[in-house]
Amino acid sequence: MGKIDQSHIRNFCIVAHIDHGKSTLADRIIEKTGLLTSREMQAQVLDNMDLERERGITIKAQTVRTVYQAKNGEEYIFNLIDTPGHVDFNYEVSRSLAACEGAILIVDAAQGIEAQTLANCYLALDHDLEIMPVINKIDLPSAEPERVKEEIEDIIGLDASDAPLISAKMGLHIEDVLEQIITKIPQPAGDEKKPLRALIFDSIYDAYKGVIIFCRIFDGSVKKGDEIRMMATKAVAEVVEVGIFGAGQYIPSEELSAGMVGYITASLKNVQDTRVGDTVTKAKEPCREPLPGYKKVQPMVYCGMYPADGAKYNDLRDALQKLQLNDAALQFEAETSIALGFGFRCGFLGLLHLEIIQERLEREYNLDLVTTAPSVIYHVYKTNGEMVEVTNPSNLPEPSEIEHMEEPVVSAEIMVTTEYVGSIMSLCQKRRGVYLGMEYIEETRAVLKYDLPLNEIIYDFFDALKSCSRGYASLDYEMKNYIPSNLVKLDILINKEEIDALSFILHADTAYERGRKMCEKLKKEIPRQLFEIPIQAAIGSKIIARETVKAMRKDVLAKCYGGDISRKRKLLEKQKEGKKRMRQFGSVEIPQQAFMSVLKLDEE
Amino acid sequence: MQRQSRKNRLKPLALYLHIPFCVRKCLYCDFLSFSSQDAAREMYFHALLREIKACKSLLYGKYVIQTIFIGGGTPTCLSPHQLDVLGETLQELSKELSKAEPSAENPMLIEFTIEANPGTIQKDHVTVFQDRGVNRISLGLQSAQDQELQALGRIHTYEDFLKSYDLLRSGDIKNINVDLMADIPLQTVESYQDTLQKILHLRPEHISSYSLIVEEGTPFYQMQQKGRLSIPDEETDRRMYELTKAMLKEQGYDRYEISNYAKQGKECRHNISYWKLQDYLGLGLGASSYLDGCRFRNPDDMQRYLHSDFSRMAEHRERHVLSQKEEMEEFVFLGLRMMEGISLSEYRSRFGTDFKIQYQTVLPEFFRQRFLAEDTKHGRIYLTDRGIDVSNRILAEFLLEE
Repeated sequence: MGKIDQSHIRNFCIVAHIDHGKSTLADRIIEKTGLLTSREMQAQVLDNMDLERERGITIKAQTVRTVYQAKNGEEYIFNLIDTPGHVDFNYEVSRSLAACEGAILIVDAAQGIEAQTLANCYLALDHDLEIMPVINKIDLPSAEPERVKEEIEDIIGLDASDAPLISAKMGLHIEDVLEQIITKIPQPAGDEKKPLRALIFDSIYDAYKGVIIFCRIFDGSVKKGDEIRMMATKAVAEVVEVGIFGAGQYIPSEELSAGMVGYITASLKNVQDTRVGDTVTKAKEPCREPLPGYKKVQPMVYCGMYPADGAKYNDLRDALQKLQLNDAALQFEAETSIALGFGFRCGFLGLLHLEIIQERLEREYNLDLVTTAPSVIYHVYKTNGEMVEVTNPSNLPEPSEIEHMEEPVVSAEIMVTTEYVGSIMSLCQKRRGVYLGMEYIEETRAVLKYDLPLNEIIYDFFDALKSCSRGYASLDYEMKNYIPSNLVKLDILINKEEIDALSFILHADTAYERGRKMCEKLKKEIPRQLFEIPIQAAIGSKIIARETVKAMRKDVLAKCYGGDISRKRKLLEKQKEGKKRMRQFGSVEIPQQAFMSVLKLDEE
Repeated sequence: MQRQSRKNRLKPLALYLHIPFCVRKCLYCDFLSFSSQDAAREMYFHALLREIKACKSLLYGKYVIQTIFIGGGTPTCLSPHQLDVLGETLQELSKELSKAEPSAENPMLIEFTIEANPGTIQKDHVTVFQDRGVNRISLGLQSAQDQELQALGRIHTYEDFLKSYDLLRSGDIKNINVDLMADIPLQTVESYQDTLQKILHLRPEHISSYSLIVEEGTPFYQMQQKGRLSIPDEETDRRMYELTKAMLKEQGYDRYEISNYAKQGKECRHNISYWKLQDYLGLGLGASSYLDGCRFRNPDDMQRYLHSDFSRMAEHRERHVLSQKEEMEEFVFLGLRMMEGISLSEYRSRFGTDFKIQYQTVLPEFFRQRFLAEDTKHGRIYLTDRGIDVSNRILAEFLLEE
């Protein structure tokens, strides 16, 4: 493969609100550039995990290199860098953007600009990317491309006059996009002579190749045999292979040089060493300064994960370790619960990240899990002047030792059509939000700005938001700061015994209602047993709510028909099997389902 | 000892015949039954005769028939003539089998029950019962309230039942069971009490009362899924259950099984065989059998059944030999349905281990909570009243781990 002049390379990504057609346009670009025949195309080439396909979102950023034969007769290399589409993965998005010179901004011709459109677009602007607007879904009857163009110009301040009007789904006007990429997106401007400086924008673990670093070369070059160093993690390794990305495959090459996007393998065994945002340089001939913007992503949400079957503890640990190979943001450490036995306290970027990991553990590793209520990181200032971070309510110091506590707050932007502003505002108020302001994007739509305690949005805020806006509201948030807060630990007692896995920390003002709801929900979830079971919510020694599961009074099997014993046996076996899915607490049996269901309390 | 073994050379057998026909299927029923044409019944009747004759070689020299139970469906859907021939064939089989070891001690046929539904019994049926030694009739009444009967999808009224009952009594049937149901649509404690009073007034020898169980695949189940089945709540069901116990006890009925009450000596011997894990043979569509520690079942499919080669049936049936573990479990969960419970010595001689050791992990808690009690005088373990109430929970615990 001959060396490619930087003037014939374009590195870009696509930013869009969820469902505005990012993956579909990516498919079309790949298709039109002839890298793959139509027959080879999967429905969505970029989303190659089952899970992603089902959820319709992209979890891990991936990238693809295509060759475009332009109308001017020249061949151009397009590096299309895919970005995750969820607020949990904001940092990963920012690193992907940093690897590009430009971004295609897709806006849905019917829906117009949405919260994530804005958030991602501003993020791209922050990275000095050239933004190229594209109006998609013009085939929809409700499409209003002219109105959307105006919106882009008014709200973002971008010139959208020559924005391609396309339908990625129907393959309409994709050529316009391809040609504009050449004219609008700047070529890379690195210096091949300088020491190696490459940005890691993703890294994954592959069973055969070990860790694969996805990187953008800014300066210098790298080839097989070079000794490289990750500047932040300080990991050093020898390069085994470098190459470029075919669609869904790795194509080895001689060298990666300034301006190029590709991969490096270096027999590293863990993605913890190759953190997104870190700079790769050569060990012997390092660059002076790393690329800007590295930060180690920190989990924001924690929960306990326990195997439903205690014997599967080691399996769970192995599975978490395997997932961690590919997911530097996932953290876990062993913990013990009186109620649930041995398990792990796991840290996630957000609730979606948590759910994805949970699903993968259950689906790919066949584990039955019991998950405790998610918690944020609380800062607990003790009377002795010490500050401890608490992610597990059970580790909260004694009240007498606590001077005060602080909780994390995010600044949130909620975009919503004006008819739902009222209900969204009352939701945010209920969730202890501090109203900062509202901006009208156009007559019928507004962005609401709130400071919201993170622990109010990690449970079910997305669901609540959707239900009070008929699905129209969209949310974007970022970590802001910690503020002092009147927090208490709510305990749940079943049959007078405290169930540690059900404890959680919350604001004192919401404790009563939440305690009451927890008790009600548990009452529904715990089947009646041979004796009466009190369910209580307590703060310290003070009981704030109580329900009772009445004793099972009658459970008699009816007629035994004509000697068909196997039928009766099946019924009893079913009964016994049901019992196995319960956790035994003293003499009380609690179905595992109960631990999960109390996490979703606002479903009435 | 010698005498004992000689006496028991022929094992007592409970013989069950299934008649899968009904005038119309009730809304709660999930038994194998359906309405039918005359011709279909005739074909089935002939197949059943073939099966009865074919089982002789299987049983001869090993078993003697102790009880016969013709159940359904509605056996009285068969014509008096068909029942007559069936009864005659069964009588012959019984006689033939006892010839293998003629002795005074060999138990002869002591109980011959036919299930009957009010509204299907004709006078000629009763004559057949007399001729063929049918000495027990089980009448499916369910309720004495016509509106409740209608809600169950029954074809008869209470008046129809009374006629049938009188017909049987005038035909000198001295042992009648009446089936009742609690917790059914439209029922109240008062209406149930009225039903009990009416039945007690008739003084049948045996009464069964079951709470309705909504089984999957029945119209009631579908109605329940759609929220359109209204049945009394649990408290009401509970009161009806207590009422049954109290009223029947007061009238001299002995509760010998969870749902079965009888005048002294009128317990259903046939059903007791099931509960005591004794051998039984089921003939007819979908009938279950338990012979020599082995369970098997006839085909559920009518065409397959009709065209079965009964002489070779034994080879074709799916057989399940009970493991020792299964046999232990069943001995316990069936035996505990009876008020007398299970015999510790019988358990020991049957399985070679001690019941209390086998179940040492669950027994102490059940004794402590008074769900189980021990009759030390007779060496028996039985469910207490408290235990019966929640017997499902208790019995499930007697399933052993793998």
